[in-house]
Amino acid sequence: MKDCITTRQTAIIASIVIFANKILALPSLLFQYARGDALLVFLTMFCLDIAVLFIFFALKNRYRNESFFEILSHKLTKPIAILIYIVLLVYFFLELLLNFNVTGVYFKNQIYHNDEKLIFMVISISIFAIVISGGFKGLARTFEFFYYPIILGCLICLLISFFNFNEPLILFDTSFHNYFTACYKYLFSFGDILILFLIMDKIKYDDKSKKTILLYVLSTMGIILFGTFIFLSLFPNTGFLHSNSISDIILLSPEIFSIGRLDIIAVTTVMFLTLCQGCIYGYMLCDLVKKLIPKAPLKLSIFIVSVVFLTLYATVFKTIDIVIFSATTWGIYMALFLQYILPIICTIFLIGKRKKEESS
Amino acid sequence: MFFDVEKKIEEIKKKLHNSQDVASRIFDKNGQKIGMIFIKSMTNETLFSDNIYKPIKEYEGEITAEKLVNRIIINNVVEEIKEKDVLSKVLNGNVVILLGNENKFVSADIEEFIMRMPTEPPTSPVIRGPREGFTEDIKTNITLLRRRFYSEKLVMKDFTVGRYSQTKVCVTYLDGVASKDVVSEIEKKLKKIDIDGVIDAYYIGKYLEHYPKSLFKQIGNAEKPDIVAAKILEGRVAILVDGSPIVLTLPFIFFEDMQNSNDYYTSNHYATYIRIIRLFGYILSVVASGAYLALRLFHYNVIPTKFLITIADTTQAIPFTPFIEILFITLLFQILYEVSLRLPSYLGLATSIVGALILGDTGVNAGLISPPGVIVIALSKIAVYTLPEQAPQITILQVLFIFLGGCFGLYGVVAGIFYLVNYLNRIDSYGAPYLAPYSPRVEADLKDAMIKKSLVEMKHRPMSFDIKNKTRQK
Repeated sequence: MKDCITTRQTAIIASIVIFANKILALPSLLFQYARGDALLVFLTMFCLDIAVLFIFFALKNRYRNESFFEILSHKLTKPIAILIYIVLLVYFFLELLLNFNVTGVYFKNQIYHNDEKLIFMVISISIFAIVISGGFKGLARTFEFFYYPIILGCLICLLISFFNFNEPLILFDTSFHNYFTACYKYLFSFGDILILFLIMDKIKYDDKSKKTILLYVLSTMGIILFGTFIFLSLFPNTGFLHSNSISDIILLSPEIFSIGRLDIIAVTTVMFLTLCQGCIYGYMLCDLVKKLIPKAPLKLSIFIVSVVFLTLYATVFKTIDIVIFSATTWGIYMALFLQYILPIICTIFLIGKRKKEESS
Repeated sequence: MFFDVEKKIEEIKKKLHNSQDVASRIFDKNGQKIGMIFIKSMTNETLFSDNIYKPIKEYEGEITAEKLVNRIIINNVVEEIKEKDVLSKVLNGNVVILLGNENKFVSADIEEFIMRMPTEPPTSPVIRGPREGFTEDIKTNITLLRRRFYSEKLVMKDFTVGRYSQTKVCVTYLDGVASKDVVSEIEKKLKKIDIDGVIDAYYIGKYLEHYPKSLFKQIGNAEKPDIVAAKILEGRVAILVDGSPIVLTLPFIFFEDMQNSNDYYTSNHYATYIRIIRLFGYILSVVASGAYLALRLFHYNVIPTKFLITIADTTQAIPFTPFIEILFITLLFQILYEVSLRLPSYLGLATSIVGALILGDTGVNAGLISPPGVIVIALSKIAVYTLPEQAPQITILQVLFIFLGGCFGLYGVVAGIFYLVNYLNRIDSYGAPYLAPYSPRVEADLKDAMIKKSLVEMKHRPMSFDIKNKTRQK
């Protein structure tokens, strides 16, 4: 069980990936389709995520020491497992690109102003490479260290903005079609629980783990819902204009401390969050490369991932619009398969195994 | 066949290169030749003449090794030794008595050095609590520790390190509390050391570190017996080195430096408050100058308008870029600090006046440096001393963060912090994760981390590292 992480660290990883872009661009994007009902979209998708989380618990209970790749190879044959892992590789590349583009644009708008894309890329890739090469345990501990500062940063931003809106949020002000479209279009931005399946063999799992993970995941979802509620209440008509939700809600707050622009708290929080998310996605990518090329040492897989990522970032996915377009078109099918169909397949394995056990 | 005492003494003297402080006495007593050899500069001459030389010379009966061992009255050890140990005993401040008729050697420990008293160390003054500090003499230090443990469980193991210095090193711990693995690893490492000489405890410390190239401190050190005793009680292992007032302790975690002996002799609330201030001081000292530079160069729009106008007013005439200016002030401060450390105290005051008033003030008036820059650097430099133990690391980190802030802005500073934390999370000290009890979180140890709970509530010894007996009180 070398390089295993604790339940608390697992829960924190789950929380950090759940945040993804949900406190930045997503509320504004969902607003374009669902307006105030964006909150319901979040709620629905989170319910689905919780369902997937329970499938993960069941799977982990049944296959304590096996990796997801081993389970897939065993149940669906190795070529299919490799195929699924290739899809996962593409999926995580797109996740990372989306993340980078959204935060890159955010930093440019909020603090850098000039085109500082190169600075952002150089620092991020170097940090990811160094941190990932340090191993998963160090990575998980780092997340553990930054978890409370990140949560505190988010909560400060939300609480400062909390008493700022005059009108209560109006729900059900759009059609079912719009609500469904929003759910479907931004499917890619949810289902981050998937990451737990891929690290399932690296988790120290006991009877209390389920409760701990659930607690952290639900708390994170609660913070995101609270943030979305404030965002939608503050911008009931102009939400689509505010693509940096956590910063914009605080920018419109009175300067209660008169210490300058308070969105520096949001900026710093998002910076830490971006680094954490980038590292975990980067680690996942390297891990997938290692699964597909078993003989490749970690450093080689880090090099491959960095080069491919930089090439994609500099050529195909140059702008945020291209990444969002990809995520909302062909990315949806990938997300649908990986986030929902794959867990359902896992459920079938579990039922099959249970029936087998019962009959024997 | 008996040996010739005179010849033997000559042989020993020759081995000691006839050093001027080597003294010997040879006399006949009832037809028996008796010789004595010792080093004058390392022995108590009164003790030698009154308790050894005179009684032997005036004794009427036959002198045997057994009689000497039983009848020489001194506080320290009198024992019969083998010929091969003669030289080392002489070198350790013993007088060696050669008995020609018996072919025997008796050594009596009359070692004496000019030693300072165990006064309060200047680096760890306390308002309340014990004031005694370790000295350079290992025997005194062992006594100071022993006085705090009237228990047979306190183990003290001796080692000798250094080909020429033959420095005495003592590994001490509580049997049944400290981890055997940690003790044996330390012992193994000590035995492996093959160096010409050990001048100070830090020489030994370098061999005990797991990451010798790391910037960060990996071994605890203390100059006060109460601190070392507390660490031994927690299950740590202490290493005393002769000639050094510093006692090393292992395993070591980062948050140990946030704790201070004062914290345990004052109220918990005050101790907690002070620890938070120390952490804040640490963060401020590492990040402040880099963050200031990042804000000035990249993100001036987040600075409050009034303050921004002040900065603009005071910096417009400065010929350097903000990056060069901050680097210049940092280097200037470091030079002044080094000068004030090495100058005699009567000149130190003059240096402070020249540095702070003349250089600082005229530098600002001449338009070479800006007041906000001076304030930020001064603040970050002073804040270092909230954690003086970490000062060398912080000084290096400050410069690194100035580069990060100056080249990449706030994202560079944040990335630097992220990497720093990740690096610290990857290192450990004899099984203790460096950033415990926060990452990984060790719930039980949080009672004595940033928030200090009452001693009554601390039922367990630290859980962050491997120890044998975890229960401290029931």
